[in-house]
Parts: sequence; C-alpha cells; structure tokens
Amino acid sequence: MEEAFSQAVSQTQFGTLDWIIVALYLSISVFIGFGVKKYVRNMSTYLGAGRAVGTCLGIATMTGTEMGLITVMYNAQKGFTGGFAAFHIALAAGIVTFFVGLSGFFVCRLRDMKVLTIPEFYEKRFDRKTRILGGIMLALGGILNMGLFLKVGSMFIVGITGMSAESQALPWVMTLLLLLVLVYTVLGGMISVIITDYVQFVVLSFGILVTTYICIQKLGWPHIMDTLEATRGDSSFNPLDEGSGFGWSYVAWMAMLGLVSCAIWPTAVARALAMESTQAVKRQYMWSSASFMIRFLIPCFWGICAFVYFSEQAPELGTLFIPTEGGVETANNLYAMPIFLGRILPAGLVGLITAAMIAAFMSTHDSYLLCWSSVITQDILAPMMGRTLSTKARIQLTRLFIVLIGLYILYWGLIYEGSDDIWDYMNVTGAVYFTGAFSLLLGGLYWRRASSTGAFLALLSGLTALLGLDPIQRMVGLKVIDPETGEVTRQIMTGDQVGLLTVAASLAIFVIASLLFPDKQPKSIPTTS
Amino acid sequence: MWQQLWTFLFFGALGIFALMSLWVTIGGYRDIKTLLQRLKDDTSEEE
Repeated sequence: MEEAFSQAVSQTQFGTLDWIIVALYLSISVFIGFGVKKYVRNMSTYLGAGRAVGTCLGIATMTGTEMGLITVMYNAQKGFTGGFAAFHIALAAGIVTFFVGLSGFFVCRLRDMKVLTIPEFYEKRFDRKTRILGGIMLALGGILNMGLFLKVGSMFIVGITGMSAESQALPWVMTLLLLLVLVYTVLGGMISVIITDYVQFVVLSFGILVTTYICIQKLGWPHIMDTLEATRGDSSFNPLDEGSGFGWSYVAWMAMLGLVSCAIWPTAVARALAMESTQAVKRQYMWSSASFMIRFLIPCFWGICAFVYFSEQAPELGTLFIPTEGGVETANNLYAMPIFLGRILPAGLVGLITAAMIAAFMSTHDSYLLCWSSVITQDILAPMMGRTLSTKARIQLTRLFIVLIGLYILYWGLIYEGSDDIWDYMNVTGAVYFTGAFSLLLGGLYWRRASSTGAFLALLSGLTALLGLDPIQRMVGLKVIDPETGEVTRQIMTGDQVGLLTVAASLAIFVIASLLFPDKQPKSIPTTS
Repeated sequence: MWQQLWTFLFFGALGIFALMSLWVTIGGYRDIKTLLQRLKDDTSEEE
C-alpha cells in the first residue's frame, strides 16, 4: 500500500512557483515577530495586546485563531467520512456563537471584570486554590488537546506538496514549522499573534473562497449531491440517521461544543478579553458566527468533494482511501483532502492555498502556545509564588513554557497512536478542562450561592472525560475490539456520550457541593456595565 | 429536506463570509494602525 500511496501523493500540481509563494509568506510572518517586539513593555501588552483591539481586527484574529489547519483537516475528515450530515457541526457552531454575541453570555461579564485569563476569574469569584487547580486542568486539557496539531498540520503539507515520497518528510516538516512559530510567538507575544492572524485572515479568506469556487466548478453542486445520494443514501445528509455515524447524542454534544469553542475555550475568550469594550465584544461574536460556521462548512465540503472525486474521477485513489466491506486496509483518510487539492488546483493557486493553510497552522499554534504558557505562568506559578515574580520574570517564564510545550507537541505527534477521528480526540481532551469550566462560569457568573468547594470539585470531575479517549476506552473495557478483524465488537459508551455525562456530572457536583459547603464570606457576582 | 437545508446553509454562509472578509480586511488594517499607535503612546512599564 505504501508504494500506491507514494504514487498517489506525487501527482500534485505543486511546483517551484508554489514553493516561492510559501517561502515569501513564512518570511513575512517571522519579520512581523521581529518588528513588533519593541511594543512589548509589560504583561498586559504581551498577553492582551494592551486591551486595544478594534472590532474588525478582533474578528480577523478570532477567525485566524479558530480556523486553524487542524480545524481544516479534521472537518475535511468528517466531510469525507460523514458527507453533508457533518454540516450539522457548522450549523450548531454558527447559531450558538451568534447567540453568545447577541446576549454577551459569559464573555461580556468576563470582559467587564478585566481579567486576563479564565483562572484569574476563578480567583476573583472563588479563591486562589480554585485558580491554581483551574490553571492545572486548563493546561492539562489544552496541551493534550493540541498534541496532534503539529502532526496533522504537517500531514497536510506533506500531502499537498507530494513530499511523502521522501522518507522522514513528516518529522522534518513538523520540526521546521514548529521552529518558525516559536520564533515569532516568543518574540512578539499577543501583538505579533494578532497581526499575523490578520495577515492569515486576508490570505485564508481569499484562498478558501477561490478554492471552493474551483471545487464547485470542477465537480458541479448537483452532481456532488447526486453522487452522495447514490453511494451512501440518506445517511450522508441526515445526521440523525443511524447509518450517518452521528445520532442525537452526537448532535447534542456538538451544540455543547459550539458554546465551548466560542465562549469557554480560552483562546477564543482571550480575544474577547483583548477587545476595547463589551459592545465591541458583542459585535465581534455576532460577526464571527459566520466564521465559526465557515470554518466547519468549507473544509467539510472539501472533504466531500475529495470523496466524490476519488469515487468517480480517480478510482486509484478511491481504492486507496474509501473502505469497502471486507476490503483491504485503507490509507489514513486525513490525507484525502490535501491530495485532492493537490490534484485539482492549478500551479500558483495551490501555492497560495498552501501558504494560507500554513498561515492557518501558524496562527493557531501561536495563540495556543501563548495561551497555555501564560496560564502556567499567570495562573499556576505566579499565584503559588505570591508577589515575588516580576513582570520581566513572568515574560521570560512564559517564553520558556512556549518552547517546552512546543517540544512536547513534537514528541506527542510522533508517539500517539489512537484511532479516534481527530475532531473526536480534540473534544475529549478539551473536555478535561471545559466540562468543569462550564460549571464554574455558569455558576460563578450567574448563581449567587456558588461556592469555592463546589467549584474545586466540579473542576476535578472534568478528569472523567478522559474515559472518552480511544486508548483509555480500550484499556478500561468500555470498548472492545476484535484483534483479528480490528472491528469494534462492543462499546458501552461513545466519546460524545462520555462527554455529555461529564458535563452533567460536573454541574451536579458543583450545585450539590455549593449547597452543602457554602463559602463563609460569599463574593459578589459581577454584572455587565 | 436535508439537501435543501444544506444547500441554503452552504451558499448563505459563503455569501456572508465573502462580504465579511472584504469589510474585515479593510477595517482590520485601520485597526492595526490604531493599535500600534496606542501601544507606541503607552509608556507604562509595569502592571
């Protein structure tokens, strides 16, 4: 199969002109990192860009961060395997984000409190130990969550450029991309992150619109629909259909994740906290709801197009990537979309879309690296050490953690061998943090009787979300796989069901513990100005 | 029913995104200039 795979990948349109476009883009990003270093004077400018970001820039940076290459890859995978039924993820994300913008739910109150991170809110509303535990859970969930970013991003580069024919291409691409991101994130902090996000937004939005137009022009919208109908029937359109691979619990889980990704996930919330006013936060979210929808919709559509193209116009790729009943083992379907784009996009444009995707890759990495490292510095180490950490020491520590986390994702990308879809892996690992955080934000911002004991226990309960992860499910017997055929013979609970149960358990624990162990001196609930 | 819903959602979102991209590209450039000016004027060293 390896030979067939190398053969398939090598037939890309990617050429010298495309390499020049990519190199030019990467140089600009590093140049920005050096250019804005002079503006970093304190922790507020390093982590929050001085809370001086306007609406348009806020939308660009939020889109840039949340539309990462990892997002593009996992959604393409969902589209390739689930068809149009996977569009429900986009619909849920768009509706929920718009609702958050309209109501200011969570984000406006957080912005009014002028906190830099969510754990900082935990200390203001509850106590210091909750902040430290919140920081640990956030860093644990977040760093595990980004563990596969580097590997999956590099798979795109390898797939679209046709590098896989050369051995060891993947680790080298991973290392090079990581080094570039580390350079400008360490130097410029949030300012360089925001400006590179803007550049990414411009390149990416143009790139994805043109690519989508070419996909529709080559395959035809009615033809795409008809092919899906003919090959997979109603289950490729209806997410509630049994054969779609989704179902009610999955759709409910996606609605929850829609809320999480815009209003609880710290990289998105960090954008809200950097805005100049709560009104700007609301506008940012209402407009970004289109981006939150698009970030799922377009890559998912590219995955669908790859499936249609492989089924009809490139049967050798169909044999390689589309599983048949009792058929031979197929190649990793994460490669399907980049190989498809490498085949249909003309030279020049394929370079532009690759630059756009590398931009997407870098802008997500920089934000995530900055976010988790600042949480470790600001919310774990600084509260433990009291007032002994100077601003300079904090910035240096944050930079050190950026590098350490970078090394970890390089290591994790090379060793992790779970069989989960990437999107499902990310949901489960993220749930370690956000199931507890959801309870704390909801209770802390809107319920007077929420107590620090309830908050502490609710945070700890998030750890049960790890039971949704494929290797752990197999280890504890929640999922049994036939060693000979590799098929699942028994599964007591799916990852989405574990996630929903963890949310419910965390809320229940929070309420019961708050009622049983109230704070002696309850803190006031913040209100929106 | 699902086919019509997904068609409407896809092209609707694509249209909104295209318009928003134009607006954000122009407005974002202006915001960057304002942001850098504010940071340049800010002389505080510590929190």
